[in-house]
Amino acid sequence: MNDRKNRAPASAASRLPGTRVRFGASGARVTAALLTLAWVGVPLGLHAEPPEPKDSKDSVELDLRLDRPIIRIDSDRQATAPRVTPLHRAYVRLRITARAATATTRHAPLNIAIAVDRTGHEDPEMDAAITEAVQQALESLAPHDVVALVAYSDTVEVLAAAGPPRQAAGIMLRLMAGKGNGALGPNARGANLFGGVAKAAAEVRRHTSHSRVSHVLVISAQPPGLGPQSPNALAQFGASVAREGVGVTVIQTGSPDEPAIRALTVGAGGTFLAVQDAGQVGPAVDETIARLRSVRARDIRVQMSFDGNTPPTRIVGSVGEIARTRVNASWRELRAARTLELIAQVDTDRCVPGSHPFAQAELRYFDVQTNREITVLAPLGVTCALGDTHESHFDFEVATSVSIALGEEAREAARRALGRGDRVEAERVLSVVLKELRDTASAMKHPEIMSVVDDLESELRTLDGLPPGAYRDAP
Amino acid sequence: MTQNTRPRRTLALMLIAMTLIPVALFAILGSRLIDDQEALSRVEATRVFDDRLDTLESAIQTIVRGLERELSRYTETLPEDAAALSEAFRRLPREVDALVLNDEGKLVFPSARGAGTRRETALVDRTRRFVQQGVLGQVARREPVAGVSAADDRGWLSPAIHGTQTFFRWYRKGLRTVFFEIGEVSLASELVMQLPDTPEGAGGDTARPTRTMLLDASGATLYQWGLHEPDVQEAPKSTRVLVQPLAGWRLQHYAPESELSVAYEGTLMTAVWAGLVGLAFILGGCAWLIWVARTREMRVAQQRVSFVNQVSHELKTPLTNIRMYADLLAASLEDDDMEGLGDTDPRQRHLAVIVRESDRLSRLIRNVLNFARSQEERLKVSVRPGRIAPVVEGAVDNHRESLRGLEIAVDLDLSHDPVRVFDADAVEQILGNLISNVEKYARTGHYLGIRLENWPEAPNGQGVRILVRDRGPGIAKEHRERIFEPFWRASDKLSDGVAGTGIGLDIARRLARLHGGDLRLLPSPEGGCLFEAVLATPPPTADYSRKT
Repeated sequence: MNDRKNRAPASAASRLPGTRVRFGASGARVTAALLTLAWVGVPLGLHAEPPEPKDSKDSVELDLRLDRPIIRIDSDRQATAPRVTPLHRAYVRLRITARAATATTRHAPLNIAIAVDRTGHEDPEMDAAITEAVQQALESLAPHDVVALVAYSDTVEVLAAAGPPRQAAGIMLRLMAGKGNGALGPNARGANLFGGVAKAAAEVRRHTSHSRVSHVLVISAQPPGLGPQSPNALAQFGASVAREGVGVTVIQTGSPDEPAIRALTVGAGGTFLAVQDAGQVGPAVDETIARLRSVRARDIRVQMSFDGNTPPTRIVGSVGEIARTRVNASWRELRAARTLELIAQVDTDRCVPGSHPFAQAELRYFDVQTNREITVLAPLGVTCALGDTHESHFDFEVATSVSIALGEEAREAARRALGRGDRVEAERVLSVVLKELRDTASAMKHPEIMSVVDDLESELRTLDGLPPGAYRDAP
Repeated sequence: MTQNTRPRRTLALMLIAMTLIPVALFAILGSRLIDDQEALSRVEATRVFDDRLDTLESAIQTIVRGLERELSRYTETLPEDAAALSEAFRRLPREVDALVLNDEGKLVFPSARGAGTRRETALVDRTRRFVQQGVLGQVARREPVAGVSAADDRGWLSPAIHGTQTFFRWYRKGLRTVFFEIGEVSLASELVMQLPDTPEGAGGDTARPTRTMLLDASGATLYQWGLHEPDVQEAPKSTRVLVQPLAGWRLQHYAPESELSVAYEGTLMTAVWAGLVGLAFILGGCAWLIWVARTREMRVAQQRVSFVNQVSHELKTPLTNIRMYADLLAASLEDDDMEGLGDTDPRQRHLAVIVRESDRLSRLIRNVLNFARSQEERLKVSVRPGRIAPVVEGAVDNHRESLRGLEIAVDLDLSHDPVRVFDADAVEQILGNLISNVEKYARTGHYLGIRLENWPEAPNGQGVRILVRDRGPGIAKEHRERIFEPFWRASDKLSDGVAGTGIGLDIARRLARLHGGDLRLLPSPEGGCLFEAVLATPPPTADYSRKT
């Protein structure tokens, strides 16, 4: 998700139609805002009980909304075969937001393994900066955290098995004394990133639990030279690690972006940081540790169940899976002041006049504050109206989110098509989405949606006038 | 110093040999022992490497069995409905995906029509060519195997998908077969997580730098550990090919050559060197002690010989004077033989005794002096032309009185008497010693025969053989050679009560050998002794003046 997606929900949410539920430390406190859209006279059914949170500081906020509160039914379509048009297409947005951390916010114990590539750099300052950064990271850990230190080259050495960080100084001494081992020999065969991460993950696995934030921090120096090293294989490996609830962050030092290493983080759904200046290593490590400390919820799973007449037809973006009338999505963790978003597309052919239960969201997560599993249900209703309905009934915030997500998805699909050399497909993807967004933009006249349209049109223009296989850089 | 040089050199060489030979033998044996132990050590090290790979293979098999058990639990209650199957398989561990095929090899789950999740759709696309007529379809279409229970009808498949090996664990459940797809990297990561690291963890030998590698079916190294860095050309010391489902995967163990014998070589080499030095020290010490003792004995013996030699020298001058004055006295008595008493004159008889005994003493002294010279390697012969028969007759004449007194008949055959070059004094001394021995030991035979013959086997073809025969008791066969050793006397009645120095035959043999010949005791069928003195005596040349 980009920055626009990750920002905190707008404070104006309360004035928008939809369901907004807050879950506090008790896990039973639900606040639902039932907003009556007086100017259209259509009630929106909200069925969740809204208990007051005991400690709103620890809450995770669930926001479930439709991009339009009224679905128009054309009278002539009642007798005809169902057909899907943009006018009858709706989007449901589920958004989960963690509150910002405060000074008193408890953070989950960390279960972290730091894997350091010891094949080294040409710049000795970079090696020294890495050693210092790891040293500071270890010293910043709390006594109840668990840390392991792994060094890898063409071989892997577990310098410190997973345990309390009190021996950080000793660990670092071993790391520094170990310079020159492995890949630095005359018959060295390159860095075994796969082996290093696997061993680090094995150390993390020994203390994996709901109550801990499990993570592997890789500080890489060289591209992989031993073991599985293709982007595809490393992506598969990253996904395998992530599936066990272990996150991956790679700080690539020295050399620029490395596709195989990036693929590892993409597969794991982790973070990739390229650092070329020794002075940036420390901040990158600190930022990673701070990011891990800001986790508020873990093992987040969402299931949206739709009415049998309005099954979901598509997930916008790469998160989530459709299983018949359900949409499933999961995230490993949610950090403070961050937002997770899931957008499902629904084509409402069979909508009949009146108000209906439309969808229900079930949220499960492990609350780091309370060390408990939390389950929450949030229903969503819809009104189907005959005849003309004013277009201004759109929920501008949700519509904007949908537009941004659709635009990103279209750009990503176009990028993939261009990567394959298929410029025609890239143009087609951009054109289809652009047409839909133009309709929405012309109906809503919303500046952010217009901005997305402008971006896509600019993207499409870079393809115009060029022969197949050629394209301009995006402005 | 020259008098002791030869025996001392001989003794030194003998002691050096006595010391060096055992040390050399010990060194050779020690070297062979080290070689044998090194070979044994290599075998032992290889066995250790094999054991280590066996242990690793067992550990890998244990991991695979654990995965099989884990996957088996997902097949215990297999729902019929595709949605329920999707839900049941949603929580599969790691990157594992599941397919279900019916007994016709058709895909039951996920739906081939693409109604499933994105992940399920991708799985269907990925495995499409293995279903139906592919290997998965073949496994699903099989007739149940007779005698195999449904719970045991399960196994592995490992085809390659898009160039990457993929593993399928399958379970036959009634008319359906469940396939769990596990990627190579996922399986490899599971193994790597539990394999040792570097330096080797628990169970490894951190003191010995080795390298172990895990290679996949394509020969690519997936993971390695150990401090040894083999070069590209180095061959593995041990290899283990893994079995299903990792068929084609290998474990290879590398170690430097020095590690193959390190267990024994150091200690054994030290022990052999210590033994070698100890043995050399002991033998050297013993040789030194023997050297000191023997040289002391030789010095004492030499001092004795030197003393006798000096005494003999001192005796020689007065004896010469005695003889000279005896001769003068005999001449004056002949001049004064006024009464015509002739040989009946008692003074003449007394004087003859003096002359005879002084001659005998002279021979004795000459023997002693020659023996001393031989010990000092100064014994020489001075040759000149002449005939041997007069020398023989002179030697017999010197003993004539005593032979007559002992009633020993003398039989001389001196017909072969050419002019030759020889030392007359030496020949006379040889014969004198032999005749003296006849007087001492063979007087009972009352016979002495001396015969001159040609010696055609002489080195230059010109030689003389002198045969001296008696009819005494003879010499036992086992003593025939020992009688020529100085101071040796047979301890029997033959020599009991007989005075003698024990050096006569030794001197006689040395003199014969200085003539290029020898002195031997020949077998005598008629009894008694038969001595043969052979002398290389060349005929004289015109300008002959050589001295040997």
